[in-house]
This record gives sequence, C-alpha cells and structure tokens, in this order.
Amino acid sequence: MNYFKNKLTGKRRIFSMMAACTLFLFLITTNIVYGQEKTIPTVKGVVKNDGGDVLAGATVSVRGTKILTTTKSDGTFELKNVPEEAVLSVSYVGHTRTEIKLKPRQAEITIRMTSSSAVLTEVIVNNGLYRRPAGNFTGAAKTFTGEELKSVNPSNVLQALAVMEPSIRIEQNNALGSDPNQLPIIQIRGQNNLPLTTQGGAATSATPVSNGDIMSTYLLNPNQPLIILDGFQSTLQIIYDMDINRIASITVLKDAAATTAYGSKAANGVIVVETKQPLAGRTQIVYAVNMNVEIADLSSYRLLDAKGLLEAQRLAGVYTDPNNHFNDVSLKQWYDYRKYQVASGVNTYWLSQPIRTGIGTNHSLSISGGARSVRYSLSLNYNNGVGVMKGSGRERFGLNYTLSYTNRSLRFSNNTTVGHAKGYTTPWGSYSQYSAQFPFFKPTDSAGNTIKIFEPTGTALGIPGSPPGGVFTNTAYNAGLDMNNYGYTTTFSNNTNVEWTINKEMRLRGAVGFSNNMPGSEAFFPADHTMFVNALAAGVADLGSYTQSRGKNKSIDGRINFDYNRKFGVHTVMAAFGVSMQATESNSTTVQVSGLPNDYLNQLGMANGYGTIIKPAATNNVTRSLSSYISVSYNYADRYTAEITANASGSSQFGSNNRLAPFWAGGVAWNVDKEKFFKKNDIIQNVRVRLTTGITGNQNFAAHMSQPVFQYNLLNNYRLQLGAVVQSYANPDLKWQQTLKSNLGVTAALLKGKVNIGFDYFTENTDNLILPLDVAPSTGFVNYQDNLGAVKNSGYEFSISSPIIQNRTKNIFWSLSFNVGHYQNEITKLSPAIEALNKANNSTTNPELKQTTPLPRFEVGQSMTRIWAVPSLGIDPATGKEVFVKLDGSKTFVWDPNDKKPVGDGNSKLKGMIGSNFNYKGFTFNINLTYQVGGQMYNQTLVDKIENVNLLVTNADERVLTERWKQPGDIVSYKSLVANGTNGLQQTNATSRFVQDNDYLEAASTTIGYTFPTNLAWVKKLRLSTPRLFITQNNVFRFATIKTERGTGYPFSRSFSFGLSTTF
Amino acid sequence: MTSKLSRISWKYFQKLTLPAVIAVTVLFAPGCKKFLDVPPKDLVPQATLLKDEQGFKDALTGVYLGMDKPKNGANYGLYTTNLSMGMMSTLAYNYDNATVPNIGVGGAFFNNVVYYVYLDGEVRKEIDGIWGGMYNNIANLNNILIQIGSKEEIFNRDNYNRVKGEATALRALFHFDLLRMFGQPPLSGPAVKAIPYVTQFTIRSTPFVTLQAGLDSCIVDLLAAKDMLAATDTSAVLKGVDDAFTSYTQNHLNYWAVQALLARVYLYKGDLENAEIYSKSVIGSNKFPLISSNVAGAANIIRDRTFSQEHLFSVYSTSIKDYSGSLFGTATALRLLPAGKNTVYTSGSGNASDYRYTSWFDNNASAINVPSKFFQDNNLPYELQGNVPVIRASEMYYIAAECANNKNDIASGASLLNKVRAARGLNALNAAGITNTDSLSTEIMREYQKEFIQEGQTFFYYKRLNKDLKQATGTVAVIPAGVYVFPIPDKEKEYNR
Repeated sequence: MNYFKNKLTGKRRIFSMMAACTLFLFLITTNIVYGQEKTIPTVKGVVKNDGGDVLAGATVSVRGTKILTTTKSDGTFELKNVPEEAVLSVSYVGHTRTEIKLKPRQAEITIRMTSSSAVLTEVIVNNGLYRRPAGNFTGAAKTFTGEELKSVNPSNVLQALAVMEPSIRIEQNNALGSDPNQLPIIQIRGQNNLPLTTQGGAATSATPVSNGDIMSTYLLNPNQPLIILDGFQSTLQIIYDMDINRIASITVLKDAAATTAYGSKAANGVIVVETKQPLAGRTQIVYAVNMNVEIADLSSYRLLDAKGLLEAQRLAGVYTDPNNHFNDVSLKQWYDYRKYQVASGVNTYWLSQPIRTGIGTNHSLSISGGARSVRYSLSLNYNNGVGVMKGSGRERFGLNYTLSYTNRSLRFSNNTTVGHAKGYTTPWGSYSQYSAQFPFFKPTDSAGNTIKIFEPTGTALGIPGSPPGGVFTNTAYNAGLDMNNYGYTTTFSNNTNVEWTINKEMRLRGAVGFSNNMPGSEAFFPADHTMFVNALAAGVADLGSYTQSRGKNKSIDGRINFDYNRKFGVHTVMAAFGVSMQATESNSTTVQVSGLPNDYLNQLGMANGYGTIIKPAATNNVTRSLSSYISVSYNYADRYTAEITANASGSSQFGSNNRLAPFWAGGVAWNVDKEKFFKKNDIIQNVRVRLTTGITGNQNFAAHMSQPVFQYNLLNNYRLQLGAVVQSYANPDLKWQQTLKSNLGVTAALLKGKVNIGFDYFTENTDNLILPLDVAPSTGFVNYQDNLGAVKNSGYEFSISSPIIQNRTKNIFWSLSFNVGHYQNEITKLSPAIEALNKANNSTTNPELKQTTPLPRFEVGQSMTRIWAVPSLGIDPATGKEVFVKLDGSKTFVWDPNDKKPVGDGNSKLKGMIGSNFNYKGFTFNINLTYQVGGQMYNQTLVDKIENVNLLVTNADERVLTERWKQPGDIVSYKSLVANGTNGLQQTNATSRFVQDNDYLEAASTTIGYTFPTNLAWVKKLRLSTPRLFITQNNVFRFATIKTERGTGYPFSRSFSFGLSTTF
Repeated sequence: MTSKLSRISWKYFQKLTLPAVIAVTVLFAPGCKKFLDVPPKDLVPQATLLKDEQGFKDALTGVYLGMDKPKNGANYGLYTTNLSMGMMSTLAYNYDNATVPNIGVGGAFFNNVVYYVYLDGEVRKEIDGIWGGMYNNIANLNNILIQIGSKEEIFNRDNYNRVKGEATALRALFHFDLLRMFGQPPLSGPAVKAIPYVTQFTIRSTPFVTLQAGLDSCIVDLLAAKDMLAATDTSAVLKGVDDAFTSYTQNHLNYWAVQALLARVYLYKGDLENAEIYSKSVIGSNKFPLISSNVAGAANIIRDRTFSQEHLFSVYSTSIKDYSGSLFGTATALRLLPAGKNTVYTSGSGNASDYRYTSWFDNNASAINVPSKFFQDNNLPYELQGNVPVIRASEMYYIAAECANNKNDIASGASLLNKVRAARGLNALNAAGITNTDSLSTEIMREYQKEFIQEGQTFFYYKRLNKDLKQATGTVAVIPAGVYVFPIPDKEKEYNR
C-alpha cells in the first residue's frame, strides 16, 4: 500500500519536475497524503457572514465529489455521505469562496464567510495577466475598488483615479476646460519622452475624433500608460466612456516588478481595469441612477465692460490716426457711433451667452445570477453627459453580457460589450470667441432676431472709412443654423476566457479577444455660417462645407497563461508563464466637400464640388506584437519574499535587426515584524520593506522609422505614371526605448492599526530615447531616427491613512487620509539635432514662431518641463518699458531670445490629496481635497489679455485699464498702454515677469450619502436590499496662486451629482 | 469503475499539459519574425514594392517626379525651376529686370540671385535644397540599382535594361549637374575636391572626389547606361502608346539622350574627341530633327514653344503652368527688357526674323512682355504640355561645331551652326565675318545665349570656358569672386569630413 502510494506520488513528482525544470529551473518535491476512505452519514452546518448574519442560498459542496447543496432561509444545510476529513467549499454572492476541512468524525460545523470587496484590496494583486497573493509580490501597485472611485467622482473615473493616486497626473488643459468630448492626458510617475513630434506621432493620425485606434492614441501621447481592460489592451477612450458601475477595481502598476510582464509596452506604467464578474446565487438586480448637474465656473474672468473697453480702445489709439487726417476723422466718427451705443445702454455680458446649466443623467441596470455552473450577467447603461456650453454633450449607450460556465475544473466565460458614444460639439463655437466679443455689440436686434453682422457698414452710417477692426460677426448666430458637428464611436468587443484548474497548484488559462471600434464624425457648416462671411468674394461654390470621416479599428488578442502556486511548510512558491499576441489594424477616411448654400442641404452628396480641397485623406496602420513572460516568486515563512520576472517582446515597429526585446525585473521584500528580534510593542505592529529594480520598454513610435518604406506621390504623375520614393532612411537597428525602474517601498501599520503608512521612492532612467540624428545631406537624407537620448525621473509617494474612530457598537466610522507625490525630471543625454531645434526656437526672423509664449528648449541637466524666458526686472516706472537682464548681467530694454534662462518649471514638486471619510449609521460624508505645490506656469492669459491684447478686435482684461503704466512714477506690473501706431499692441515676448507659482488647493469632491436601513417597511415592501442615495459635488472651491482665465476654449465647470442606487 | 477510468484518463491528461504548453510555445517561435513583419499599409514596404517589375518602374518614376520636387528639396522645382527657368537662368542674366527688388514671386530671392549673393538666407536655402534634393534622388537611384541586382527574371521584354540603364544614366546626370554647380570651373580646378560621388545606399557619408574624378565616374556610368539601353528597343521615338512606361521616349533619359549627355560631359571635361563622336552620333541618328518651320509661332492650340521634336530628354511636370505663371504671369514678372532682348537676338549676326525672337516672348496677363517658353496655352495637345528640356538636339550641333572649331576646321564648324540658324529662321553666317576660331567661338556663345534662354545651360557654358561673366552677360551686377562655385551646404561640411 505504502509502496503504491509512493509510486503514485512519484508520478506527480515527475510531472512537477517537468514543470519546474522547464519553467524556473528549480526542483520542488511534493508530498501529499491522501485521506482515509471513510464517510460520515450526515454533516449539518450553518453559513454566516462576517457580521454574524445567516446567509441563505449559499452553495456548499464537498471538494473532489459531486455532493452539493444550498443553504436554507435560516442559513443551514445538510450533506449526506461526506468522506471523513473532507474539504467543504462554500460560495456566496459578494463573498470569497471559503474552504474548511472537517476534523475527523466532525458532523456539525459553522462556516463564516468574508465579503469579497475587502479581500480584493488586501490579499490579491492582479496585474491583468495573473493574480498573486500580496505576500508574494514586491512591486509598487495600488488598487482601488469601483465603489471607492465612484464615491470620489461618479461621472469621471479617470479624474477620480487622479485624485486618489498621487503618482497619476492629469495635464491641466486650460484651453479645453470641462469639454465632455476631450480625453484627459494622463501620465504615471512623470514623462519619459520628449514632448516633440520627432517621435513620428501627431501627423500620422488623420482622424479628427479621438478614436479607438490603439496605436494612434499612443503616438499622440507617448507618455500614456498602458491600459488593460479585463486582460486585454484597451484605450483610454473606452475607459472614459465606460459605465463606472461596471468597474470592479482599477489597479495602478508603477514599478518594474509590477509591470515588466508587459515588456516593451510597460515603461509608462500600467492601469489595469477589471469589470465585475457574475456571481452565483439568486438573481440580483442592481439599478443606479445618477443625475449630474454642471455649472460653468466663470469666476476667473475679469473682462472689461462696454464703457471700459471703449475707453481702453481710445487710450490704445484705436480711434486715431495721426498720419492720415482723413482716416482720423473717420475713426472718430466710428468712436462716436460706438460711444452712442454704450450711452444707449448696450453692455452685453457675452460670457454667459453660450452657457447653460448642464443636467445629465446616468442610468445603469445590471442583472446577474445563475447557479454554480452557469452564471450570467447583463448590464445596460445609458449616459447623457451634458456640457455647460449649449448644445455640447456626450451620449453613451452600453450593453454588456457575460456568460460563464464552470464545471469541476474548467471555467469558461464569454463577454460581449457593445457601446456607442456620440459627442456633440457646441454650435456656439469656441468659448474664446465670446471672451473676445465687444460688450458694446447687441446680440439681437429690436425685433429679437439674432444679429449676424454687428455693425452697419460705413456707407450705411455715412462714415467714409471702414470700421476699426473690420467686419465683426456674431458667433452666436451659428447656433440658430441647422448644422451638424458631432463625432461618434461604436465599439464591439468579445472576449472568451477559458480557465482550467489542473489541480490545486496549477492553472492554465487561455483567452481570445476581438474588438472592433468604428469612429466617425460629421461636420456640416452651411453657407450662412459666420466663418464664410469674409469668403463671399471667393465665389459661391466654396461657401458651406461638409466634412465626413469614417474609421475602423480592429484588434485581435490572444493569450495563454499558466500558473503554479504551491505552499509547503514555510515555503510558498508561485510561478506564472504566459504568451500573448496582438494584431491591430486601423484605417480612416476623411472627405471634405464645399458648396452647400442652404442649411437644409445637410448631406455630403448635396455639395457641388470639392472646392479648393482636391483630395480625400486616408490612413491605414497595421501593427503586430508578441510578448511572453515568466515570473517566479518565493516566500519564506511570510518573512522574506523574492521574485523575478522576465519578458521577451517583439513588435512590428522595431527595426528588422532588433525584433525581439528582452526585459527583466527582480524584487525582494522583508516583513520586518515577523522576525524574532522584533519585539511586540504598542507603536509599530507591522513593517514591510520592498526593493525592486528592472527594465521595461516603450514602443510608442511610428513603424516606418525602422523599416524601408516607399511613399507614393499621389498628387502628381509623370506622363500618367505614378512614382514612389523612399520615405525616410529606415534604421534597421532601431530599438525600443528602455526604462530602468527602481523602487524602494515601505508599508507599516502603527498604533495598533490606527495609522497606516506607505512610502515609495523611485527612480526611472530612460535610455535609448528615440531622437533624430542629423547626417550629411549627400546621403540623400536629412536625418534618421536613432536611440540617442536619456532622461531620468525620480520621486516619491507617501500616503498615510488613519481610521480615527471605529466604533462598531455605535456604528460610527471616521477615517482620514493624506497622500503626496513628488517627481522630478532631468534630461541626461540628447542628440545634436535637438540643439539645432533649440536654436531654431530662438530665431527672431521666423515669422511663424510665436515668441509670446515660452518655446520648448531641451538641455542636458534641465527638466523637460522647464520654462525658458528672458529674466525681467519689471516695468521701469520712468518709461513704462520692461527692463530685461542679459546673460552677462547687464540691463536692457531690448528683448533678445538668446537671453532666455530657465526661470521656472511647469512640473509641480508636490501633488496630493487630503481626504476625510465619515460614516454614522447610514450616513456618509466624504471630502477630498487635492493640492499642488512648487510648480510654475506661464500666465498666458495675462499676456494675451492685458499686454498682447489687440484691442482692435478683442475685449481685454479689466487690468488693461487699471494696472497698466500710465505716467512716469507709476509702479505697476504691466507695460504702458500707449498708442505706438499699432493700436497699443506692443508685443510682450516670453519674460520671467509672467512666470507665476502654480499652487492650488481644490475641493475635488464632496460626497454626502445615506444608505437606508434594510428593516424599513417601504424598503421591505419594494423588495429593495440596499437603497442608497448620495450627492457628490466636484470642484466646490479652488484656492490658487495663479489667476488665469481658466477654460479659454471651453469653460471649466463645477459639478453636482445626485445618485440613487439599489439592489433588488 | 467509470470513475476509475475517468480518473486514469484525467491523470494522463494532466501529464500532457505542460508538454503541450511548451510545444505550442516552441511552435510559435519560428513564426515570430514573420508575424512581426507587417509595416503599415498606406506606405508601401520596400519588400512589397520591389517584388515585381511595376514596383521598379514606380520607383524609377518616383525619381523622374523627384526631378521636379524631390524630398529634402528646395522651395522651387529642381529641374523645372531652379535649374532651368528660375535661378540658373537668372544667374545667366536672362532676366535683366531682376536687378530691381521684389521681382518674380515677390521677396528678394531673384534680386539676390542676380547679384550672386549665394550666402543670402533664401538663396542659401535654395542651394542647400538643390543639393539635398539631388542627393535624395541619387539615394533613390542607388536603392533601385542595389535592389534590382540581377533580378532580370521578374522583368518583361527589355524593361530590365530600361530601368537599370535609365537609373544609371540619371545618377550620372545628377552628379554631373552637381559637379557643374558645386565644382570649380573645369579649366581652373579639375583637381579640386568637388562633390561626393555616391553609388551606395547608406547613411554613412561618401568622401568628396575631385571634379576630374567625378566627371570620370559620370562617364563610367553613362557608358554602362548606354550599353544597357542599347539592348532595348531603339527603333523609334514614341509618343503615347499602349504601354505607359515606354510611352513618351523623350521624357525618359533614353539611349540617345545618354549619348548626348556623354557629348556634354566629355566637352566639359575637355575631351573634345569623344564629345565630337557622341554629338555626331546623335545628330546622325536623325531621330530628333531640327524644326523646319516656326512651330513656336503656330496657333495657340498647337503652339510648340519649346520645339519639342528637338528634345533629347525633357522633364515632365504637371505643375509647369503654375511655375511659369508665378514667375512670368504677374505684374512683377521676371523679364528680359527690350534693350537686352535686342542685344541677344538682333544685334550682330542676329536678326529680328529669328523665330526665337518673334515667338519666345509674349505679353502676359498684365500686358508685360516676358519670356514665354513655358507658357502652357489652353487646349495644348497633351504631348506638348509640361515639358522642360534638359538636353536638346541643337546643343549637339553647337558641341560638334565647337569640336570642329577646336581643330581649326572653321568651315565645318560654321556649317553645323548654320544648320541650327536655318532652323531658327536666320540666314547663314556671313563667311567673311568668320575668319578665325575666336569669331566662330563668339558665334557659338551667341547661339547658346539665344537658344537656352529660360533653360539654364548658358550659365554652365560660361563656367566651362571660364568666361568673364560681366563681359559675357553684360550684367550690371558686381561679380564677386568664386561666382561660378556654389557653396557646399554647411550641414554637409559638418557631417561629411
């Protein structure tokens, strides 16, 4: 018997050895003792949750047999003929599967289950490819549940993530404000790429809508983290349009140990999104409704009123012409005309014209259920996001269906998602046009009709000359036209997962995903649109335009993963191995036609020709990539952990000589408190130190840089033949950029769990940065792309959270949290071509260069976000002119771009969050404040609206009148407003005077919620289980050191959300 | 029993898992490289394009298109403007009003060119663009020549020799013109380093060679090209026929054009013996006869302003109308003022009956009399549209005449020149006036001045003979030293040492 048993286990051992040899080259011996073949006639038991309540409908089974039952309404169950010392397995919705081994001859048992949401954050780390116990993980990662994120921002999950996680930064886009159709630009732990178009990006995407094309989104933002949705690469757009109620968790993977499995795509960090999976049990219906109210925040605007503007214009010399008496008289007459308008009471507040209070709703319904073997879930979502500008919004429909089948060791699931999002651009046009519009223009005539052209012609008024500034049109007029301007995208994806639990230690998983994303856009501007007012002379054929674009992005992903997990004695070994491949194809076509005179001819085919546009545009991209990884971790006695991960990635984008890239990472962790020398004390209970290092890659560059490609000249022919030439010198040695990431982390629990702290210090050295290298033009080429540059990022993240009150009996919970993130950036190596680029940006002769804004300049030893401007001493009280400091220290009135010095840094030193979470009985009160300290910003608004303002055509900030230099002796911050022949327009170029500290404290979100007790009569009557009502307010207040007009192209908004959710 | 059976099969199943996983992975590996070989579709990967004959034809056509607008090129067209009606003609003082600022398309470009200010920003940019564009074309040709290797089997008929021959000849043409622009004049600096003669497709720079060595390389390439093209069908000069590639022989650097080019290169090198052989060979072929009536004075719809039957090789471009319109169609058009025009065409042995005098100047839309060789009249037959001659038959007569003159055979020289004069509506030269080689030389120069207005060859003629530009052109500009040599681009000097 014994011999036979050994033989059996021997076979197992061979199998394990094969696994061990091939996978991680170390040997594991197994030694399992099988139980006795006796049975117990009846086992009785009861299943309870962690609160002590009984659970009805929980599934109880005996592992390794077909014995199975469900608990009754009182939580009890009964099993017959159970083998002695069998393992009982219990599962229940929202709880982790619990397994308990019966003691010899035990016939009665009480099983306690823990709810799964808590388990998710603490015990398991999921990197999207494989899950592992946190004890076997040394990397830097942070997981947030969908509920946590929803409580911060119920309508924008990406904003919520940026509030919660200090390593994530969203680039403030001052121009686009709270436009619901703009994707945020996000990055994790800083940027690893120069913000240059040298990466071959930008121009490659012809589609105007931010679409679902995986490749083009990365080319547009080469610092964008990799997005993984349920195990497959996805796009930011999909996450942005996704129903927040579907999100189970989002994990942010930061360091090498956490991300290396993704190889050449991992350098920017990874965001792993997991959606909720159907759970067994009785059918559960969850309904959530959320109403979102958006109110425009115009508090940062301080524009002149009608009277003030006219005066400012007069002072700026708009209405005088000292050189031409005839003009001078004419201009004076125009002044009188406008002055009369002001006197008659015209003072239009244009800023409020295109603004509304946007009220949007989000409905989300999900049904899930099923038995132990077959489970399903169906979720439906309708979201109507309404922007604060009239007519703008984003409408989303979503449908998701998951079916899973589980038998003893096989689990099969299939998931289909269909989504449609339609984004409407406001017909009112850019918001900047309203801040520019003169307040002494009337929006409507006496009959109430919207005015298209504001002023009568000079002839009509009997004024000889044309009006100063030309013909002014009312952008608001377009809102009354029948025009189309929207983009849309339809997404379909289907993922199939098969999971085979070979035995307790081994699991094999395979997955195939297919997704199809079809973006498009339609833009129709009829001839009556104000944009054509000045084009009338161009001929009727070109009035009115219609642009249509269509795209199609397909991707197919396949993946096989194998993992092995075994605990013997004090040793825990975990290994994972996997191969994945991806093929993407994207194409788009854009056609523009002209000549649609009437606004009811709103079809592409109604146009009478192509006008001056002669060619449709089309793009087509194909990429393929292949990646395989192997990861091994070992834990000894819960004290020491070591892990090592290796990855080999291949991509069609790499040069032909460098098709497969190797990456690796290793890490160790030490639970100090588990050591014998660690004495129990009241201050520190728990300390874990982690150290990781490794190399990851970035492949966000265009494919043609590495492969010889011909480009056809489609605009010309040679005696009816088409010709093709070599597009650029393809560098067959071109490699992926690689980033060496190191991370030192400490987590600790202090004061018996009253304080939890986490600290991570990291460095990221990016090497092989792809930059152009100039060559002799006799080679036929100007430059070629090579791996030349290097950048270093370093920083830290610190978080502290403290459950101050945890009173279960009185049901009061209060916790505070604080986090802070810092990073700094330094360029360590550049190619000479960048020097030429810097020089070109210092040119004073190039008319296309706008020196009014600090131009990028990259130098070794400086950060990429450095602001370069000429140091200024301020305004000379005697002359009203600006005094500059030259490089040699001398003073001058003359601005010279070569005097530019690093005067600030756009990257703020610290960014973080302060949060408070208070619960009393059913009430919840959360507040999250975000802050940013230590960065600078070039206050472009001040420059554009005060000093560089062209009063001839735009309105200005009120400080134009109040704070500009007027007479000798004035000590002011702004240059003189003196007519110097060009209407007061003295160009102010990049100067340190406008570099301001960009610190702020903002109430990112405030939530008040109430969960109704389940014992209320009406709750019971409606068969609701956890009805919940909450109100979230985003951006309640903001204290900032810098006052700029925020949201120049689209206003920022404050939002309030009212939500109700319940489970049937 | 069944459970036992299933357990056994389960057991074996388990055993097979790992080998299966490994097998699948191993099977993947060889397929990897192929799987990853997928360049984007909107651009054609080299491996796909150069897989068949059409691809090579398209690549060659790409270079012909590059003679107009090459990659890394200049603002103006290469052979279609800078080397013909634009810069090169201005340098030869074809447009004497360029001395007034803001003539042409506006800006100071032509004004700086006519004063030979090569280091002016805009002029410099244009010269750098000529260099960059020429070498980009050369790189494309080298790529074709390397890729074509001995892939003769993928070509039909004589197309292998056509593609390879034309590509080789074009490489010589571009290098020759670079030598003529950036090298020293052949009489004074044959041993001075001039340009790199690039025959490899590489990102590593090629060292500079002397003018002499460069010209020798051109001759090597041209002789090789001549032999290759001799193996093609040379029975006729074709217009539009069913096959686009063999249509419009004159728009390809064809067998005869290669010989004409050899004559031009030998002459530039000073090898008059060979120059005479090849120029006579072209004349003797009778494929490109001189015109017999004033086709340039015909009615608009058939007006052949460039005497197209005489083109040995002309570049085609659909943009000629635009180029010509912007330089000669406006109120500030480039022009040869009446006095200058008379000096060139009617004084001395000239006469107002010269077709070139009567038909190569017209009033533009702003009623200004301008050189009109490249006007594209409405309803012009397709074959007459868009041609910019690179080398024409009349030059062969001038070369032959110069060679004869060099041998003191003044009579033969004069008779060759008279053939062209007759075809231009002029009387034969008065023999009494042509008494020595110098007087014949002068007549040859005058022919160059008349014939090549707007074509740019006159400047190279002056340079070849180291003429005193002031005297030859009558320019009012101060002639700076080194006017015959264009400055090498700074980037070339920096990266090619």
